[in-house]
Amino acid sequence: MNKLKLNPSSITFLPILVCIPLAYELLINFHIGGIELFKEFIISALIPKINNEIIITLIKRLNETIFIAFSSWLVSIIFGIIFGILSSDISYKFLSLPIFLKRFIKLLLIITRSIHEIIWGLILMQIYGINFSIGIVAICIPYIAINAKVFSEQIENINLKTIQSIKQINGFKFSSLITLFWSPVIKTLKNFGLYRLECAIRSTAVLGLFGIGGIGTSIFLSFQTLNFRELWTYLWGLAFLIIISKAIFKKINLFNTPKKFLFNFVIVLFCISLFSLCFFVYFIFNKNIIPFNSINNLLILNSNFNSYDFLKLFLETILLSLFSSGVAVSFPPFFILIFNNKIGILIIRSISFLFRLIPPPIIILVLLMFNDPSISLAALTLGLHNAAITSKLLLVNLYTQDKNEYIAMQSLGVAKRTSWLFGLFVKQARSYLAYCAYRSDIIIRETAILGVIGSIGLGWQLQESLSSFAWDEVIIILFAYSSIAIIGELINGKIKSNLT
Amino acid sequence: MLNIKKLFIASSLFFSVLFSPLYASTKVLRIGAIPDQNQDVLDKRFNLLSKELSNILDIEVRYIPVINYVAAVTGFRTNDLDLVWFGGLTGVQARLQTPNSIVIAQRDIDKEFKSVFIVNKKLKLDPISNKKELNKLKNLRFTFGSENSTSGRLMPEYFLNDAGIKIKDFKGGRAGFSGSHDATIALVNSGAYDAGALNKQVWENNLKNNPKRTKNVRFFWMTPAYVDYHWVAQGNLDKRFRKGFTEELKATIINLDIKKPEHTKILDMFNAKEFIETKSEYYKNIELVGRKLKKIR
Repeated sequence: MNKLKLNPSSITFLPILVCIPLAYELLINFHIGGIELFKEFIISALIPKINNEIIITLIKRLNETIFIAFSSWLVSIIFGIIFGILSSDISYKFLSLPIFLKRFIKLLLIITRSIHEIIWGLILMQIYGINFSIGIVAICIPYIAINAKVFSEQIENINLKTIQSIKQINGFKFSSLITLFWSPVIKTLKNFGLYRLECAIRSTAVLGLFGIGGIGTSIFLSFQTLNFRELWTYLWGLAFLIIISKAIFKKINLFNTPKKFLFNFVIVLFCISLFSLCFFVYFIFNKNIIPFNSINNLLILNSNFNSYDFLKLFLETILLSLFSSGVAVSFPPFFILIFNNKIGILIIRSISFLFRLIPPPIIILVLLMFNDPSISLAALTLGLHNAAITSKLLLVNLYTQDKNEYIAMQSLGVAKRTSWLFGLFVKQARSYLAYCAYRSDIIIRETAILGVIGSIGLGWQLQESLSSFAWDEVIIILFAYSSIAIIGELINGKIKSNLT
Repeated sequence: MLNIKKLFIASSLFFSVLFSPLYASTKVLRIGAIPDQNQDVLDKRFNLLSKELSNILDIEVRYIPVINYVAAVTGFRTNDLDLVWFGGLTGVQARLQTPNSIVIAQRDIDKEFKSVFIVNKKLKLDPISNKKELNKLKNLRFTFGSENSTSGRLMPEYFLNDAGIKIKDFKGGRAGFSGSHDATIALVNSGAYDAGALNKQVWENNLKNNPKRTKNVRFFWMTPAYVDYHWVAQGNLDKRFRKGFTEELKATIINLDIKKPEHTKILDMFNAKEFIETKSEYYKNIELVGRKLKKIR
């Protein structure tokens, strides 16, 4: 097997080349028409609207957001663990389960996670109407599959010798099964599970933009009426929620909690989640069985798609994914390298916080004030949002590692940027790229959101087909999305295995 | 091993929240509307109407806001909304998807509704009288209102096509969707878009009440008349409330009288002098245009 020949550091910087076509198209489409609106948008960030009415609405909306985000996070974590165990090879080495079950579960998980929660939300909303249990289900479907993948990867690392020795001593019991899985599950829950809560909050906010409820709905309504001061009140409210939830979860130390208490707690959570899922299934199917059946009858394909147009949209979506990934991978190290001083890093941190906070559909709506809709604009938006996420990880890893080589190089008189590059960045490049490969999977799925708002690719067609209630077209688009995401996941998996 | 007390408390708390939708009363008349204007305008208009309907019909009436046109159609189909103020296109979509639904009424102005095209003053484009001159909009940044708006998208696109202009003739080969009529004015006024199309009523209201918002915008062209907004109700209201309820509801809406002070404000907010009877057949042309532009399949 050929290994990648280029070194990880150069591969990290190489995607900056996407800036050439991006800058070209953005310059062609640039206009100053909305510059006054943009000025108003920026100034409003400093003077958000504050009065009794808006504070009450903010609290109500945050409450809904917390409810949707927390419920979906809880259910997706618990079912993620269960499906993670059921889809890991190691479970089948000592449990007498049929192997086709593993294959079936794996396939099911691949398909469900290949479609973004926004698309699930839009579809479920069209079928079942407006209520926020739809938001919870929409987030849970792909999140369970993503969590299952991460948990299953960690469970695969269990030492086979441990299993053999348990087998030799007394054979398998339920308690020994728990003991075996306990450590990787809790470790992943600590490292990854809490991060997923932040993701669930963001997803709830974005789903709100499409009408599910919560803070996103207020954000979208204020933007649509160009009420920027109100918009910033909600955005700062969302920032407050994200910061507070992170601070609370940092305080919880899972390793120091008594195991018995945790075990009881997990059982309780599991029972609640199981019942809640039963409730959702009952709620959805009991209430809407008639339209659901009538939609089944509509699955006779008589689409109006012109195959040329469809291919064009398909290619636009792939191009959008590639350009956005290029920006997300290369911008953080590039800008940290250029603005490599305390003030520079502080500015990068602040800007990346804002790009993480403001949902991508709102970013693109702001950028549309002085640029026409194009692939480049959507790619820049998606790229910047994801670069804000990758830069956070890169900064944390860069400045918490051992700095001896960097200090040595500086004391030898090597230029600051050179010593940063060879003393600090080189050691992180490999793991950073591996994370970016994972991030690219997410970018591919997120192209749907930008497409819906920015008139680009399959996302735009999906919105048109959904608003015309053309279910046959919706199915073709979903199939196309799913194929792109699955192929992307396979390629990124290959890159990751070459890097680690 | 299991702490039953904690399990019981946690489960009870969770279920009391999660099952709340099941306890929703069936005796509440839920009103909805397509969000064609600023939410605060809609909130005031429909809350006021709900209060009046509640007083006259002696039932609880609740206004449920929705975020977009599609959600209003879906909410009606899934029985989340009982009575909805639809546009021409969304009304047809909703009725096609909801068997037994009933057309209740329309405003006096909806029999002959019109859309207007507006342009940013910087373009120095004079108003036109012949639709053929719409080709002056080619290569400009153009925005419609919502994707499913009759007066903000469907009919303007129909008249544009009729004049030989396709969407791909606009700058970038695309048209934008502002989401609402008010947003269309704001975006053209700011210069973010060069031109746009919207509901005549909203344009006239903004000209009268919001000079700041329209100071950089100029009227360009007005479309011929077509039928638009109407009230559509579920077909099961008699069964859910009482015998003859749908007729009572229809009469209440049609009998709103501009001479009565309590009704004047409501009718003013709808920009109407009265509500009148209408029939689903009046909307056949809208259905034909909708099918032609593939908004109805």
